[in-house]
Amino acid sequence: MVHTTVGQPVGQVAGPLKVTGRATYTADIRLPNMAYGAVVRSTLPHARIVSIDTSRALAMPGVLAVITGKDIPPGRVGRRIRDLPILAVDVVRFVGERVAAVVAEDQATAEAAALAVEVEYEELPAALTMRDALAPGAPILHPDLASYDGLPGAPPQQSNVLSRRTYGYGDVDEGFRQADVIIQRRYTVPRQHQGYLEPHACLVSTAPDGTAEVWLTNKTPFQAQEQAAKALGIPKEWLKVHVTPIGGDFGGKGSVMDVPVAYHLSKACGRPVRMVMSYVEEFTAAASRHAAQITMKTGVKRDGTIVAHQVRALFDSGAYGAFKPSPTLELMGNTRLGGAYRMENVAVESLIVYTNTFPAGHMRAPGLPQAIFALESQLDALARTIEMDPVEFRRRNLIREGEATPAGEQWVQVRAIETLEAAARAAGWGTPLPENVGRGVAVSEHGAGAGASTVQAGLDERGFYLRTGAPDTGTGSHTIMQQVAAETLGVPHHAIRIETSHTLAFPFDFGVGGSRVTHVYGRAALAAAASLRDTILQRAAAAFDLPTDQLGWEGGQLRRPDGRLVDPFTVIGPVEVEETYDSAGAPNVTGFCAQVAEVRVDPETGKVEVLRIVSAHDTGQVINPIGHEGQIAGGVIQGLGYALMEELPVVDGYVATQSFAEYKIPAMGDIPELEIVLLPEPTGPGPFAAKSIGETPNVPTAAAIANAVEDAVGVRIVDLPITAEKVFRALQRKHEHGHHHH
Amino acid sequence: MRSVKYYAATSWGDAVATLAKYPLAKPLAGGSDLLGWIKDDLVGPKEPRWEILVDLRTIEGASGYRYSQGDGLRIGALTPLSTLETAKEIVENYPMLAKAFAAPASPNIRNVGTLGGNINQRPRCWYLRGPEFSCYKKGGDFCFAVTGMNQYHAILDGELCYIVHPSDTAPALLAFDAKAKIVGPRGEKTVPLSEYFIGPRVDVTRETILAHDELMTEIQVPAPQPGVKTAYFKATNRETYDFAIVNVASWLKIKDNLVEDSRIYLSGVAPTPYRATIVEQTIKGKRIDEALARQAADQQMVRARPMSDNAYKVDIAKALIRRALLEAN
Ligand SMILES: Cc1cc2nc3c(=O)[nH]c(=O)nc-3n(C[C@H](O)[C@H](O)[C@H](O)COP(=O)(O)OP(=O)(O)OC[C@H]3O[C@@H](n4cnc5c(N)ncnc54)[C@H](O)[C@@H]3O)c2cc1C
Ligand code: SF4
Repeated sequence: MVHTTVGQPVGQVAGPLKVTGRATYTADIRLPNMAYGAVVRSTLPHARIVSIDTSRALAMPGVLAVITGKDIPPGRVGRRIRDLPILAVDVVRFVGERVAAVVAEDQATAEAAALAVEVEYEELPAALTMRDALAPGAPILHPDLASYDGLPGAPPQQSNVLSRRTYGYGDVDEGFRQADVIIQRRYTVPRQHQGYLEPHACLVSTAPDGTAEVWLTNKTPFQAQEQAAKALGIPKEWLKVHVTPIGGDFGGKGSVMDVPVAYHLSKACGRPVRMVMSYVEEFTAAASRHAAQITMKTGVKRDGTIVAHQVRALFDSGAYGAFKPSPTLELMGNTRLGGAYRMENVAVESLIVYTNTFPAGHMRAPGLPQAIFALESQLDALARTIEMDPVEFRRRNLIREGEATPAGEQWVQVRAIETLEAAARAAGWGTPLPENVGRGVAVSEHGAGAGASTVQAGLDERGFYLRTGAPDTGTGSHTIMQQVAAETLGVPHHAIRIETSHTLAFPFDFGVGGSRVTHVYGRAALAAAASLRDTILQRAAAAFDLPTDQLGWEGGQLRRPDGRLVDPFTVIGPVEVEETYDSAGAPNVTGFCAQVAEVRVDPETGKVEVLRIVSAHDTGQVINPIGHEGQIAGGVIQGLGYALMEELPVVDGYVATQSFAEYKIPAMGDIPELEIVLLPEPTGPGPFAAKSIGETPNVPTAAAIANAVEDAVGVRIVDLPITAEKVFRALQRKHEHGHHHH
Repeated sequence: MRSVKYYAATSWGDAVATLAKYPLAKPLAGGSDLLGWIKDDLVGPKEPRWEILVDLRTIEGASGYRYSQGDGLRIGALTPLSTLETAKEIVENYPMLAKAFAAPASPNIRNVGTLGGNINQRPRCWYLRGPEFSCYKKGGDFCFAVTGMNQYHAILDGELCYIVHPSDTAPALLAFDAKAKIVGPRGEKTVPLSEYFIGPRVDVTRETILAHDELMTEIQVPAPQPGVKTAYFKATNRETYDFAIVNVASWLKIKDNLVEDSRIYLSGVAPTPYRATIVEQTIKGKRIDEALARQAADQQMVRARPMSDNAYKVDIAKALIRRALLEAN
């Protein structure tokens, strides 16, 4: 099919506003009489609160109110399980937990007053690592877990395990007996911060009757409305939550953060209250990616058959599970601990564990970079051990149409091997490389997103428009909707206005997440645009007293039988339709991604330089090449940061990297040449056969780089990030072993 | 960020007087280090919450540089690094210095960051930079690096505190035997840069000899000499915008292929810029080759006392010393 707008590289709807600084983010909003909030945070990882003295803070000029957990009705926050108190009551469970809050005439006063609040603690034994937390006799973080709202399944026994899942089939012990080679390794991956430019911010303006207007940085405003209302114990209709532009999400902006506190502060002082998290707060108390320890034991035969795969994965939830939205409190990466490979016997166990560290949340493909780093490193090591080419090993074992994954997922239109081969071809796999240079490959996939969403389409005196309840998180989702509708209406994309609506004026909207936007919102926009066109044609035909098939539709205008083009608005006036798309009946597909990294390792310092990355995708129809390429480039860079430098280490319960000087994300000089390969003949359930792209490209990168390091210098790094010192130490150990053999 | 008072100094004397009068005043240059420090609210029993910033950029003549063949190079402390890295006289006469001026951080930080600020910046120990850690350097009673993660900490000369000196420019200036001009309530003085930095043994809360009301006004670099070979290497985890794991600056005077004199400095390894005196002694009077470079580097690093996570720095330091010697050869 030939498209006019779909597939064209058009700029983002809000691009000009954003680059000229005119886009109004939450922190830019100023209301008359607005006051400023700041939070007092715990300075101990686990402690009983003995007393809180707010008198010095209250006495400071400009301070309007100070609240503690005892001053407000008890309430807990959570996307699924509600285990995080709005303000700590009696106990704190991580360094950075909200203990009290201050509201003042200006930001500086609020911060100074927060420092003047004196909290006396009695320290409790803390479980700072998953190992501590799972040890017999460990301090139990949540003795009352069973009573919390939103806990799935049966209440667990007294332990720090928040959720446990097992899956598999066959008999792994029997499988290991058949194996020619068995490798067992433990992979550890650190916490990663989303690194968005815009920190969490909110503005809450309460009325005397308890209703409130809320602006916040959140990709799921309708869910935020429910979360905040539940935590505050008020009907959700009391909260009018606005859809605001989001300055980067990467999965991290799904929680209400300071909103319940700001609500109480606003009630306490009777004024609108603005709260913006500092980046220290972002690094120490937001919703970073879960750290994990993944132990894999895998057996293969010499011909490459994977006969047994046993996994125990531990994900560090931190002190609360509040930032996990999944009904089972799992991360979706759990289901990828065996990837999309054919395995004869499988036993997987994965646990989410409470520790006295800051709570983890969702980040771009939750759980997947962790799982795929471990799996794709493990498979590569196996291939090398049986002396089989790593691409060939994967080609033999990737599933084909009709087969299920180890977690039991079955897709149609499986293009795993084609994607792998496309990446290998583009990377020149197998061609010789200079000394200390190596290539590594890794494969992952991500579904096309699911769920239901509603989009309204209309025509008024200003032209065509679409209305949605979902924000654009910076990915260009509004542009995609615009393009899809424009294609359907036969108009240029900029002829369609995008409007957003708040939670009291629009049907419940699930919001952004799980790579669903292009598929679900795209299809809803497509349906709404088609319905709008048909409605206009019908009404216009009635107005002209013509049969509908006598009226044509061209470039957004009506063509009358005499050939004249007529502006539909002049004929029928304003019109609006609403369509809901539900992916329930859509074919179950996934989008594969295979990456090949080429690296050079300096054998004297251990420094890894990534020279080139090839990223191959079966994304389906690309709606907007600029956005699509941006997702891949950005994802690869985020994956490279995860591979080589990003980590939020926790020392004695304190985060060691509290600014972007210490928390390193890739800078321009670290970014290699990127070659993107797209599979031809698009298939997909989205509009015009689109799939998803957002959560794929950041996933395999770390494993591809780790595999390339082994290829270059023969050392395997199993702990991310792969810093120069780790490579250097591994090289040293390798040389020492070499000497012993002589 | 909490609010602070701002004072635009009109002269060096004015700045010194203001500092002398207000114990909670702090000199401000480009602010690229200091403002982050204040924003993150890094305070402790001996690290006050600064209330007044005394801007030195408003002092006439504080920024800029002069070069003459006889006198060498004089650089105003307030000169932005980006001005210096591209200055024709520096690139031509002190190419190694130009490299060092271009090494810190990123172009935007070097546009605001000054040479004086770079030399006087506070260390980057991540505990020091975390508001919750009340360590020795802030006047507390603990060093978190000893028991915690310490992969970026000192391998040499640590005691009580194990920071590494963060400045990329200091070792290069030291290799050139630069001097610092200092102004204070009792007037001006000039000290060799080699006497400017102090370690935790002398005072754990400070890194330089400057008193609260003293300021660095100028850096003086002797005129270039014939027969001198220099080299500069910086090892980082990230390509740009990153502090050194180790860096090495070397200045070798070679005559008839033999090393007549040398100065070799490292930063990123010790609480102050570290002079590799054993290397200097080992190569003196000799012709540098691969074997000598290796021997000199190895002997120097016998001194190293790595902590639990940073032994790799010893080997990286050796590798960079070897490279510097061989390149200068
Ligand atoms: C993210 C990041 C990365 C960096 N990476 C590197 C790096 O790789 N290598 C490197 O060397 N540096 C690095 N830096 C440090 C950077 O070079 C310094 O921040 C900068 O040079 C300081 O200059 P400034 O003029 O902004 O100093 P300011 O921030 O204004 O001052 C720094 C300190 O010096 C004091 N001071 C300033 N001028 C004088 C003076 N004339 N006399 C006495 N005291 C004075 C101030 O009171 C303050 O304590 C980095 C900084 C950041 C933020
Ligand atoms: S190394 Fe120095 S600055 Fe770092 S924690 Fe120890 S005492 Fe503090």
